[in-house]
Amino acid sequence: MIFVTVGNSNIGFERLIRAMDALAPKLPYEVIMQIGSSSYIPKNARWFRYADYETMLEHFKNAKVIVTHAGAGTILDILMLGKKPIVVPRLKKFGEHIDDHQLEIVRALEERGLVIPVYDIQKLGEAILDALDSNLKARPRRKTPPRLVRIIAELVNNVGGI
Amino acid sequence: MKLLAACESGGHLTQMTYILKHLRELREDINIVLVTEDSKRTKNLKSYSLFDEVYLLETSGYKNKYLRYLHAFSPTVFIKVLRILKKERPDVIISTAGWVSIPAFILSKVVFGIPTIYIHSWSRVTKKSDSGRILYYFSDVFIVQWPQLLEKYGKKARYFGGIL
Repeated sequence: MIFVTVGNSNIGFERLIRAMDALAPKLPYEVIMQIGSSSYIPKNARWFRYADYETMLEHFKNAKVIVTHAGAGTILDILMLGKKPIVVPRLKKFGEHIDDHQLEIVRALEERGLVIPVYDIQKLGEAILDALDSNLKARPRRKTPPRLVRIIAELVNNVGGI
Repeated sequence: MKLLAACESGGHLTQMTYILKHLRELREDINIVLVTEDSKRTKNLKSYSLFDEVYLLETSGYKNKYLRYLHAFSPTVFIKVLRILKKERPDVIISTAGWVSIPAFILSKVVFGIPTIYIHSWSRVTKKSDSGRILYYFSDVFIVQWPQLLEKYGKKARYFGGIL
């Protein structure tokens, strides 16, 4: 199954949903889409608007490939499961977000090899087929807390004295 | 020790949950009180063993971000947060940003003198966030998750690597 998510935003992400719907018949796996408040309704794929957090995690676990908008929480959840998502940033010029910070996080994560970016929606199909060919394992899930958290643990102890 | 975590729902909450889970591994003695907004996702949070108490603030419902921030400054929100802080009296407050953190930090600093730790959202690489712009001045510790932001904010900003 190929899972597509646009997050809990109250702004739709038509560009991604339309492109995925057009690709769905050509793909070797079933496509399921979480479309949020997008006004375009998929014709070639199963879809739903929103789901609770646990259901979303189940879809992430079951998917062969995950295509997502560049919401930081969603990407973090996917990476924590040890998967590498295909990420399409929402852009301000299409009215998909209030600014272009999704573009920035995608570029920064691409540099670290954590995501597969799709900046041009025409290239989405290619990216999915490549992803299906390769084994999309991200870095193994971190067992020890990151430095940031270790420092926060220290800080909550000592913060009164700062 | 009692820690109050204040953040918006969505990605802010994902980051907060991740940080708190690790924090619990390191410090079993911490009691965690969560203040976030009422959303589909946050309805069941009370059943999570991670949180000792959960408070949900009414969401603004506005799509426009300026109206959302106006909501953060509304008297009803401030009174509700004031009551939570008065009842819980946490030793420290941490936030992973969003509108909920604004009343929590301002009241903590100005009224209660509770130390505050602000953690800038991982989603922001080079640009200041709206809550960051304001809460820089109400934070004892101000942490960014990307080094590009250090010089944007100023001397107080610290960088210890990102959440991942």
